[in-house]
Amino acid sequence: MWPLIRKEMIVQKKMILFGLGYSVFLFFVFANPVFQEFTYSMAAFGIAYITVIGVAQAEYKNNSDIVINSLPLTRREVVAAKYLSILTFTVIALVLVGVVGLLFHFLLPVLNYRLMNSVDVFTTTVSIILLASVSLPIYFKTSAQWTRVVNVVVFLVLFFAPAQLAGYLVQNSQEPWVRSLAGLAGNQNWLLSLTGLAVLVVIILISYFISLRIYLNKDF
Amino acid sequence: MDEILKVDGLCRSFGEFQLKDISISLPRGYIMGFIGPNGAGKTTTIKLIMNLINRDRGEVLIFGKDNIKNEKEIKQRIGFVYDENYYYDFLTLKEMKNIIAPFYRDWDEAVYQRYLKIFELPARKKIKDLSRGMKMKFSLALALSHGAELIIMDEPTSGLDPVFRSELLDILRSEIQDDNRGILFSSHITSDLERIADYICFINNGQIVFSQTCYELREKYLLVKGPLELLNETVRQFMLNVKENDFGFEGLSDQPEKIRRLLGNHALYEVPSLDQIVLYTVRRDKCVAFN
Amino acid sequence: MRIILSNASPDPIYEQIRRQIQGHILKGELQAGDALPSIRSLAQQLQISVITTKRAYDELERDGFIETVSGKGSFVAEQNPDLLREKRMSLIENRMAEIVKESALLGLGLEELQQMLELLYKEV
Repeated sequence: MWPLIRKEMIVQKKMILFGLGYSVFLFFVFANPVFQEFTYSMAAFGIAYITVIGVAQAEYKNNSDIVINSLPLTRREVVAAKYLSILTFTVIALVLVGVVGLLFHFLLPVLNYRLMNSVDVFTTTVSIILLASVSLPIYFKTSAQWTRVVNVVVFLVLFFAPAQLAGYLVQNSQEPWVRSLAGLAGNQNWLLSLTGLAVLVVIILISYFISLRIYLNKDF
Repeated sequence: MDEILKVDGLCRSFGEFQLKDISISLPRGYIMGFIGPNGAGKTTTIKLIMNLINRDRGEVLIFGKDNIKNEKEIKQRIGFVYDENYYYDFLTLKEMKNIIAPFYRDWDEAVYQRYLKIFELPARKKIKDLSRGMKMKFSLALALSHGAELIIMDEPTSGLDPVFRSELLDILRSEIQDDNRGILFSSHITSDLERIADYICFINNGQIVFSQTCYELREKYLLVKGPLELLNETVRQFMLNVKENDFGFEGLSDQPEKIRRLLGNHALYEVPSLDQIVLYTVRRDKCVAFN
Repeated sequence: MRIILSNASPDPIYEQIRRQIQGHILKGELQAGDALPSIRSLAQQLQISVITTKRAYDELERDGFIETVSGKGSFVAEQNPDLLREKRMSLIENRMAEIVKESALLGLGLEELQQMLELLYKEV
């Protein structure tokens, strides 16, 4: 299992530099009060997205499944490693973005960036997991071309939804449910957070089992 | 007999194409050449052996163990080389090796480095910048560096020049000095296999035509040449396929004794090459299809 | 030891090897106890398949010319002088049988053949 995740990381490494450039770009573009709140999560999400797509395309182009499945591995492990590697991605993306944000905060105080906080981490992780849960079964089923299309859709939804949502929330900031939601975001209601987490875990598990089923029946 | 690979009654259909009742047996210590025209089912059979595609029926035993139930354990002891580069072509040889090596319990870095040297492979170059022959050598180096007992090669020589092909055969000869090993080697270039393979397995139209030792093969088939007058119905009966021209005929018989008795010294006899056996057998199928 | 293989020969490769090693033994060029190359290294050196050399060795062993000790390799067997003579006789017989066959194809009669043999015998 570990060699598989290691493999993902070696392949991902090639895309990280690009992701880094992308996040610096985002930090410049989103340097306004409305978007600023979301810059961290959007940048991290963007990096993860680019890497996931990059690896998927590389594997598709090189027909890597044939080599991977000829190695001493079971198909179960290949699927599980893909899911675990999403987590390593998230961590790498967050660290990168955190560092970039740190540099902006101290070197370009004009842009007024705050440091990364737990909400950023939370939003990023949730959105990456959602993206992965939708796109991985499709990736295993059809390989890269379709994954790309679906990912663009999911990406756009997750990319613009927060901004729209933010605009909406700001406009309705006096409504009681918005207030309670704001309280949630502040991590005050642990029970609700846990429920959210549980839902997330269920989504991942369902996605994993669908992927596994698809992969076990696949011909390379 | 201790069989390193045993395939029994393997079936798989893909719409039009069907792999029917494939049975192969390779004893430890020997090389099997797997021949047949393109599209005959060589790659499909190899993929079934490697559990890269699912089977409909049948059984594959490698080292005496089921290839699916003991997949991980078995693949530790298999070295594979495929007809194309299925590695990540944007990585360097070194990066790719670093991906592959940790999967193997018995990875031997010294052996790998030795092959790099022998093959003159540039470790820092990207895989996509290698020539076809170099890519093949790289696959081979990876396949031979973890003490594999069974080496499975699918068309390793296709598109390569004769010098490299002969180098490859030399490597295989030295690998098989260890009588604990076995090699399955598919190729449509039969001359590669003619002098090295202990067993020849011939597949056509998804079915095994024969699978036997190279010397049995030489006794089983006979190439007959002679004047057209000799070619009557009885003679034709004993021939698999006959080619005629204005000056005479040439044909392949799978009943050498009968044909020798029938034609005596009026005809010329030769031991057919593998190529000739394949050619005549495949053509016969096509003729039947046309009728 | 010398082994020369011919692709043009109608005889199978294993038969060529068998006959040449047997010849070396019968002529005394290989003595009892002499080690033969291993099946695998002989195959490698002659650039032929392992099973071909194995068949040649199997037949030599069956005919009592060599012995194989597992783990040690193959050796020229101790030859009983009477047996050896008998084997050499049968070798001559085989060759003569070939000559008779050839002659029959040419339509040579027994008397003509006998004359030829007498002439040749006196020359030697």
